[in-house]
Amino acid sequence: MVVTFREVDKIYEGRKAALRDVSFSIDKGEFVFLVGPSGAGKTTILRHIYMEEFPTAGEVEVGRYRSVSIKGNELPYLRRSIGVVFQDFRLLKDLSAFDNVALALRAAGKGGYEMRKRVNNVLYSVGLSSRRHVRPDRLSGGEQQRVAIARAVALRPAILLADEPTGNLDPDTAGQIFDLLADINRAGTTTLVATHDYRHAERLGKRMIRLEEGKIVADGGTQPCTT
Amino acid sequence: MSVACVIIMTFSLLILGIFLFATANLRELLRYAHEKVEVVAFLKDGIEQAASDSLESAIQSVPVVETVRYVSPDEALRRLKTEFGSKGYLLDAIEGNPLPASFEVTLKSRFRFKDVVENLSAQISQMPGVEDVSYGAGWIARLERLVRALAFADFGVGLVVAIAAVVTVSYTVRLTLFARREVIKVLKLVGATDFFIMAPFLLEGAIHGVVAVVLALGVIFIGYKVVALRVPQVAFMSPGMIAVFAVFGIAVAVLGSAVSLRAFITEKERS
Repeated sequence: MVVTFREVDKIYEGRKAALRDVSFSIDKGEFVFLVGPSGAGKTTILRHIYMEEFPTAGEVEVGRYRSVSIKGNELPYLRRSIGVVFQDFRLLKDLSAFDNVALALRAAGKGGYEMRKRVNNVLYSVGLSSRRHVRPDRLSGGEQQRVAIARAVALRPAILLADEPTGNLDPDTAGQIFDLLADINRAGTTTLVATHDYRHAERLGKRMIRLEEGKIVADGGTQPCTT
Repeated sequence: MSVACVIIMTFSLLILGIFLFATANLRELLRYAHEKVEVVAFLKDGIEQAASDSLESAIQSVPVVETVRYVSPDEALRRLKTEFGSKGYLLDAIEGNPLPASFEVTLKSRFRFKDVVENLSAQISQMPGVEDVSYGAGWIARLERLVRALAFADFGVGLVVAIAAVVTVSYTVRLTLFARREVIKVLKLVGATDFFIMAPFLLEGAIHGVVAVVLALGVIFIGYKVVALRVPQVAFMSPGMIAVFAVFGIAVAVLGSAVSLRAFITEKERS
């Protein structure tokens, strides 16, 4: 298993539980949709995978790292094995598309010709070769998300997480982004996409985990469950 | 980090620098004063040459004594006239020479301390043919106390400056970090180590430390030049002292950055 949640509870002080008794596993190379309404706990699950959050009870296991035993100095190495894409892209506005992607490689201690080659290749694979020297504020929403995806996969991570990756995009562009994520998955990257956009999830026919109020209410079907 | 932070650091370092500068000069003055430590033995009037010679030998035989120099009444009067300068004619009104002959006794350098000088003076004053003995160790002891007190003050001021600089820098860095929290978030997300994230901030802290050190030293140097116009003997801080001062300034700037970074980067790691 690449990702395993075991009876995970997450309770923020003074608020109701964000996650309740969440258990699931994701196999290597799987493409999984995490679906549910806003506030269902999709983002919280993703944050537990790259360990920005830790369970109040239960355990999360990602590769060889376990939430109960991971040390602070191991977090960067866990995160280098996970690419993350957000709805708001989170690109650095002062850097070009090239430098935004290069940042992930530089942070992992890579540089020189090999690094530049890899950045160019990954920008090519998301269809942005000709826009590589443009800053994010001069790129369209779809292009910005492509840069964010390029940054997320530049280190060839084992897992790709996407949190509402099409939330700010028009339907056509959203479709292209989902196709791009599916391509990345086909190349072997385990992919977990949190979305409330059921149509694309249905179209791709992948496993769906449905969340409501922090609880898993359905897991496994390719159709969104209604309860 | 802001210009304000550099200015505050410069002022803090300036205060420390002024103390160090003053201490260095007082130490130099003390060293010079130690060189000048001597005991003057005034001889009784009408002392025989033979008695004078044997007294000189007796003084010279004391182990702590380096040199013994005879000053005749005539030479003493000439010196006095020189010291009077343009008013030397006043001494012409005095008939004859009322000044006594004397021996100027210097001590070996390692014995130029108050207690040794007092013992030697007491010993010489007991010798036959000696009318009176004078020495200037009293003010040297006071100077020694002053330098010791100033060294303590240096330490105290250094400590206060270090705390003030670390607090100032850490608060300013915290503001910068807050302004750049999105960048830091992204860096953490892509797997940057704490050092990778901290390094540019630490470097920035070091650069601001260097700027503050250079500015503070510049102001002290200008002050030194102004003082030197009136007191040419005044000395600037030694290269060693400048090096310690610079390392201190840069270290507190880097430490201030590190304190903030540590708190900012490691917080909320586990909630």
